[in-house]
Amino acid sequence: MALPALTRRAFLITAGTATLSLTLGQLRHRPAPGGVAAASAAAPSNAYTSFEDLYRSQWRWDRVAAGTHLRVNCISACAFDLYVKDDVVLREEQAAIYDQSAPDVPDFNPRGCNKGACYSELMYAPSRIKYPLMRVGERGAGKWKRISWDEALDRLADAIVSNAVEHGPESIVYDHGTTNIDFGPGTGAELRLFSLLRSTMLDSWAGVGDMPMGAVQTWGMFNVEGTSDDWFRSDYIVVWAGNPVVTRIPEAHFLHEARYRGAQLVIVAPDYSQSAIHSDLWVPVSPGADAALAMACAGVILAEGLHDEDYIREQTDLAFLVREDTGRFLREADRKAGGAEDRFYFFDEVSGEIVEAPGTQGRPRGKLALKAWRPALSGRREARLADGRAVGVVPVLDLLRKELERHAPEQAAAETGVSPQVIRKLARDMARAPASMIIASWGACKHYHSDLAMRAMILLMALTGNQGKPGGGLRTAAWWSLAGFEEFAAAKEQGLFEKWAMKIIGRPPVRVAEEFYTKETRTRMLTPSSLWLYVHGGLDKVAGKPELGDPTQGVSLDKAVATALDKGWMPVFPAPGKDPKVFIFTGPNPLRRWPAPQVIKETLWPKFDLIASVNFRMSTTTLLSDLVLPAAGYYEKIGIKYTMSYVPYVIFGDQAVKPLHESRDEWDIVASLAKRIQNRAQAAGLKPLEAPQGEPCDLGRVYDQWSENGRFKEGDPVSGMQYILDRSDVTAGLTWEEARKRRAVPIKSAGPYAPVNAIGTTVSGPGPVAPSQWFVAEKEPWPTLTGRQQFYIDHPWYMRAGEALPTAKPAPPTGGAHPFILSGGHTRWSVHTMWRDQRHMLRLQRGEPVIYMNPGDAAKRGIGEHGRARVANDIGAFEIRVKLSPAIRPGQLFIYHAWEPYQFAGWHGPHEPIASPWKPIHLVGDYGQLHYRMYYAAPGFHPRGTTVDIHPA
Amino acid sequence: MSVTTAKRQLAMVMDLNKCLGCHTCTIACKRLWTREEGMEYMWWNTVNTQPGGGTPRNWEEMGGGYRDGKVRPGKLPSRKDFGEAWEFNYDEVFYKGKGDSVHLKVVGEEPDWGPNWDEDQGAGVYPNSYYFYLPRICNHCTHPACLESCPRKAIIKREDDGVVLIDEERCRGYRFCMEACPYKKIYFNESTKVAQKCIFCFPRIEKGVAPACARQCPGRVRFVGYLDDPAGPIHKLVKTWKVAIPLHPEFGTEPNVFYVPPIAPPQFDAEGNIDETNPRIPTEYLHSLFGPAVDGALETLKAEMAKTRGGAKSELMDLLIAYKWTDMFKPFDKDPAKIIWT
Repeated sequence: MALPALTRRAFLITAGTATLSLTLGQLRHRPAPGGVAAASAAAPSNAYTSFEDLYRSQWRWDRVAAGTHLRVNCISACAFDLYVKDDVVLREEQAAIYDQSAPDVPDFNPRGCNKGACYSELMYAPSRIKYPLMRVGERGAGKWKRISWDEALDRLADAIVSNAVEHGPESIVYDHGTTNIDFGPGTGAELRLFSLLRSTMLDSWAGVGDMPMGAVQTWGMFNVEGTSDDWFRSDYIVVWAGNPVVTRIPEAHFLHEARYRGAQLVIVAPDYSQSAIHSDLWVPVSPGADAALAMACAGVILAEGLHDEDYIREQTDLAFLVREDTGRFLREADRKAGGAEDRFYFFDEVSGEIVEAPGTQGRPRGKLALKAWRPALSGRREARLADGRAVGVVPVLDLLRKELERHAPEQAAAETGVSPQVIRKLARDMARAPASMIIASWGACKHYHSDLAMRAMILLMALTGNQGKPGGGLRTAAWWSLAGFEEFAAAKEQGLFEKWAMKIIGRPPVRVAEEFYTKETRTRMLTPSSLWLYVHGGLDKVAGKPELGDPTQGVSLDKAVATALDKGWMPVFPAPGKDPKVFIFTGPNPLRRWPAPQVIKETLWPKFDLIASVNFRMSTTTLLSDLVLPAAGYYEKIGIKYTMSYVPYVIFGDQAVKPLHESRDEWDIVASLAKRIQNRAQAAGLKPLEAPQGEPCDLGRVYDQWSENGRFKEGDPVSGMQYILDRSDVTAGLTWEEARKRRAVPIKSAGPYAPVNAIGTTVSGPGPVAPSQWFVAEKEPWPTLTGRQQFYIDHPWYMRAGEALPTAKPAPPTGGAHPFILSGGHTRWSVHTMWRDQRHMLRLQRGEPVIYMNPGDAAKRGIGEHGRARVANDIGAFEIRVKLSPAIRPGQLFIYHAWEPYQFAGWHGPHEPIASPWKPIHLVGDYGQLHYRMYYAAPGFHPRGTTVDIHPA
Repeated sequence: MSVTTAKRQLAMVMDLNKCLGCHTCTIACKRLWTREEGMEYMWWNTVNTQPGGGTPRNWEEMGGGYRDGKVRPGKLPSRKDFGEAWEFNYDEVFYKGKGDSVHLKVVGEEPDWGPNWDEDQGAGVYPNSYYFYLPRICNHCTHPACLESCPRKAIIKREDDGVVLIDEERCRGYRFCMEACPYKKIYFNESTKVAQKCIFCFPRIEKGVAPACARQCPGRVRFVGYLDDPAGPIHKLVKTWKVAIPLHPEFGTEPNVFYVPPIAPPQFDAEGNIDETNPRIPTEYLHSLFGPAVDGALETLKAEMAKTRGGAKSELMDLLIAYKWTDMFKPFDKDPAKIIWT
């Protein structure tokens, strides 16, 4: 019965944190035998007894500080109170100070989750990096030398300067993952320095599998969401490809409360998920067959006349005319000599004429309102061309109806495994509910054909007139945009004149903002990470394998990449043929995250002169780097949690305790690094260096630029914080002093339209926020070629692939010919790899990675409960324990997200079998909404749906 | 059977239809109360996937509670039944120069059970799989078998609020309480040689603050209050609406934690069509957990849900929604951060 455990106290002493262990040991002052504990100041309702006082004294603290989990990449924002005693953060508890945004919706309290409630454990955990470290053995050998900060920063500055001079500033590569950032001064400082250094910045939004390309294709934007209390206003909520009970822990209560209010909750997922258990209908779909299911639903809605014709005429391109001879839209260029390629037509039933549609890319000033027109939704007409010929034209909806015939419920049942009865019920209930919603979030991006699924889901919301309704429409996720953060990070201050002009004229149309970001992207050194890894990381060797490719695309991935680079559709830095030389990553864990990391380690890693990790905890990639710089933890610096639109508050973190051990705030690390770079460059008399695009890089002035000649200084992150607050209309008038006291401050506005903020709704006061109001209520054109929610894409690559319309097709066998589908989802036990190694989290699992499998499949493979198995395909393999559950669909292997590779034998993690080829059409860059701009429309990452096999290990 | 001496009884209602299985409650409790030596393996609050072995393993079959009005000792759960507090070889992986020849793992014996070992496994045959989450704390029973079984009289039931506490000064570690508790929510501290368990966060309660597991619950699952307070949600849910019912009432201890029972989505027939002849979670299984009272509770819940689905108002649904979060805890709705210790 006795357990020879390594006790916490013994462990802490071993770990060398003697002061900490002392404090924790004193948490409860156990009296000497016969002694009495010091009397508590509490006014008890019961008579005192000494054992009760022990507990009373345990719930005591010296002070409370505002805290949040600043740089963790979780799609939440939660204010915590940190209970500090003897300068140790004892524990944290949600601040829970949010108001109801309206009397008829529940409030946001208390938010938080299991991870947030024990960051105070993680910050003192054995994975905490205490000192600057330098590798002394081979990479990954685990042999380190403790070095001073001076030595560490000198080494990094030397590497940056010498490589920038010799190989160009683009040879320095900076990676913060997708958003391992906060919106505060520390992250801002970092982005600002690497912007000024003109380093290559990896744009990993798509590269982590978070690019809802179907939204970009249809809407020209993708960060579309409102507040989570708007979910409560819905009557029919379809969670499609997501699992909010696990991944949106602070928001999920609104779903269950909506059910009590009268909504129906539907979960579409292959497994009987944690969200499905609380639903009114679970739709068990085959993995990756979501598009087929959505297409079948769309067919039912149209066939049964459940669609909203007025909405479709105004808000979609379904009335736009398509030429029968070419299959392309009828354009002004067809009709008039010298006419434009981006002006389009519908047939007006009132006048009987072909009428040019307002609000297209070629008529950006127009509005969507239809005046007296009534665009025809069916019927062949003749259109006269410039050369006098007449051609047959039909509205897109006629083509769509034809396409939908191929996806009738009976047909879709075979592909999806969902019965025609269930498909019809889903379609009818969705169409008939007053407000229907599809919560797709980031789940609908992670399969090879996720774009098709998402296009079809948006089609459902458009056909039923739901996009733009309170409690309606398809939702991904969005952020309130803190303009001041963006300005600080990019070192590009918006002039007073521009600010003043915006105030007078009002917000620019989304199309104008989109054009601005497109141009701006080409002044920055952003590189889409999937493409970058294909060119520099060796992924061409796996993702480019022709036998794993998709024959329906009509072009090999290799050839498509060559064309895209040749046409300049997408930038890659350094240009192909030149090598990246220095890799600096600040928080992410790329060798956990990237596909086929074994290939990348072999191909990319040797190209680097120096790999530097800035982090508070040991990750697999940090273990494989050369230089480790310990960053301050989330409670040890000031910051702003990135501002998810779910909660209409800005959440602030204060410095509760000084940075532990020798760790430092990123603000200070960056300031110090910038100074060293400048000193070296000045000593060497360096001239400004040309960058491949945008401004040159002046190493000799980089600190002066960063600090704005002393305005921002080491040790003074408050100067950056106040700059961000002052220049963001979301936080207008707020001082840092007030912010740190209030912890969570209601937003003043949604912030300007931005790559992270496609909310598309003006927010001026409290109340639930539904997205897309500018387009649906105010009739502003959508930022697409047609100015509508666009379901027909007549780009030649799309037409060649048979994907001009939403459709459904099977995915290629991306792991080779193997019988199982490897899929998964995010876990409740970690935020990516943060907390993956945390002992409480591991003790509440099985202490090691597991893969879920249906018991019937396991029996056939001779694998028992908790047995060890090897998962393998043509690309790679890993070993793992098997957990049997009838909740898992036969044929599916389900692994939760983001185990550390160092938790697997040989550090062979679960991404090793994943080659993740992407669709050549995702490279397209010369068509309306289809072009690369910062964080948009780059090729993605598809960790789910890989073909594998499994056998006992 | 012991006589209830408490003048008032604190109680908790947990709505299983809102439980996320996220264990924020478990962690909130762990970080507040069970962080000392000897307490590492303790989880005074647990959440288990049902059907399943639970914590400690197969506790429902261990016996305890009352039979014919007399305490009936059950099995003494072992540490392995609860699950050990595994330690990990962090240092070896990070700093010992062994590279990828070692990976992070549990130090010592390979575990075969833990406090959440069978998470999300459940039962049934796909696609008619089923499971739900069951969070548990000490039930602070009206007739605590633990109290009655303790020869040291080291267990008290507080008069003002009915919270059951183990007097750690009097406890000599005999563990009769662990045998007698039919819910197996008492742990043994190997370092201090005393029995320990959930204290209903009484130091917080005394300050008007809800227990950490309830106040920190992001799913807004838990209501806290006095059972006899007609204005509070507990009384309404337990006594008026009768939708919150105790777990294993047949154990005879009269628990003061009540559950709103789970409703699952419909099953499918062999053709994959919706089949509502039988519920996805078998009725017999729910009976085995909650007794026959579960039928009435589910009936009321479904009837009130049907009302709101038809556009009507329902006082019960409004109560369960809890538009104002603090209403779930009244009068224990104080913000702990505002307490100033002198």
